Amino acid sequence: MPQVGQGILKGMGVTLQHLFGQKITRQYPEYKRELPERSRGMLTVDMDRCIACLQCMRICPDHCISIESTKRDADGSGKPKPFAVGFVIDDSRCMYCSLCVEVCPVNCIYHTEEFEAQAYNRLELARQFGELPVDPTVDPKPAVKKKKKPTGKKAPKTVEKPRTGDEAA
Amino acid sequence: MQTVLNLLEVEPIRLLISFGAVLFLVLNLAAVLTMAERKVSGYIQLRYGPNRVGPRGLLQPAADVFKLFTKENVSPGRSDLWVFLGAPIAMFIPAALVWLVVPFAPEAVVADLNVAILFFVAITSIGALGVVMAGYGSRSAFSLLGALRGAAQMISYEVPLILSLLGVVMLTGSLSLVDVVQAQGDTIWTWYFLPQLPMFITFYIAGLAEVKRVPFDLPEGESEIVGGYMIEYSGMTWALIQAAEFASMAVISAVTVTLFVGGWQPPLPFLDLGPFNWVWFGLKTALIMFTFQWIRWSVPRLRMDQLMDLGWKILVPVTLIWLFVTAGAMLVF
Repeated sequence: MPQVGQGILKGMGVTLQHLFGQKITRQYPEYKRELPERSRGMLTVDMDRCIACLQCMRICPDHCISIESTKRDADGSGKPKPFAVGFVIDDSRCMYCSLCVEVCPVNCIYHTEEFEAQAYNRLELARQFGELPVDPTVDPKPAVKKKKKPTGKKAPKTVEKPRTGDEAA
Repeated sequence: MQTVLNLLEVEPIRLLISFGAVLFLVLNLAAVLTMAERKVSGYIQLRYGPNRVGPRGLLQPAADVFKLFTKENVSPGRSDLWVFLGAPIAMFIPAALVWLVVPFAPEAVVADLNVAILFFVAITSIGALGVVMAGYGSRSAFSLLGALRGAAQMISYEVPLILSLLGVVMLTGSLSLVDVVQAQGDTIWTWYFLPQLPMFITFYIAGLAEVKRVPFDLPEGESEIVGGYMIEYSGMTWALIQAAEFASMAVISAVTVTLFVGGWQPPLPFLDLGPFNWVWFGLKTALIMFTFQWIRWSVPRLRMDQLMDLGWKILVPVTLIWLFVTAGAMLVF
């Protein structure tokens, strides 16, 4: 009998402590916490370092990077090299998987600490980095190595049943 | 100025104006209580609650009302429309009417009925009608189940609610709420919650069940019957149901304070504020309302059979026993 109501009183004590306790809500737009190291924000490109190898465009699972490349003698060595005239990252598709960052041979594409990607129009989320704008709505078609068709594999024979005259009758 | 004041003494005008004031109070109280509910729930869950609209979120009720006014009133296609639309009104009017007999201060009572306690009991039991109307009119299985539960719960808990009032009536010898408050005296140890402690606790629990608040919120169990009887309501009809619930919660708190915690009486004689004694009434009522909200976020719900067990097997016997104890004590002393 003396135990009746003890649980309720205990619980109400806990809630009363919480009522006056320190609140754990972060007031987000006014107060932003520091992001952890290696956090993945929106992508950005250092166009001076880009060698237009198109690896990021090929590896992107969401097709969010489109690159328009030509050959140009940008560094004055007298030898035309691949040069990215157009470079677009469509943040409405990016899923922040960081594959392009890992694959880039010159470390020119990397994550910033920006993560508030919002716009009134989906196309506004496509950020252009090159001299020429690239249409982000067109899927880039990375050159796919054509595999050799496996030889020696025979097409399966279609075996037809010899029709007998009995059935027709 | 004097003529205006004299005009206020004329009977129908006084009643109408004070009833208007009470309606104003009830509607604003509902708005304040929604705000308090969300703030208290937030603070208990280590959040801040609404704090974007106005300073510290204090204008949130205004934003809520604005949103609800602009929403469409949807009613189910095959609903019984008159019953469906009448139900929020049938819930709100009893909650507002009880305020007529609640004394705020020695002279500040709209109608000092000599049967005020009977009036309170009669009017609060009408509230079950609105619940049944809402459940029946919506033509939805969830609504009907919620309404059946609500009706069963409210009618069952009427019994301990009324029985727990009887001790106070016996001690006072009057059914008028003003007499009850005056009989309690202006010291904290002469208030009725001490000699009538089991009755006070029973009245509090039965009142919680009567206004369908959390340990007894079976009519709107979110896990099994979603919103219960208010599932089909939207826009201002829903807001009216909410206002009715908060108003009845405030009424139960106010009546608890009036009957057991001394109404407008100050806790100690030197704290008598004279004409401002309604402050004591307001403070005590606010405290009781806060405990309602506090309990809401601390206590888990009862099952339907546990609810009925508590009502019929514990509360009713306790009140009956204490009724005899009170009668015996009055006979002896």
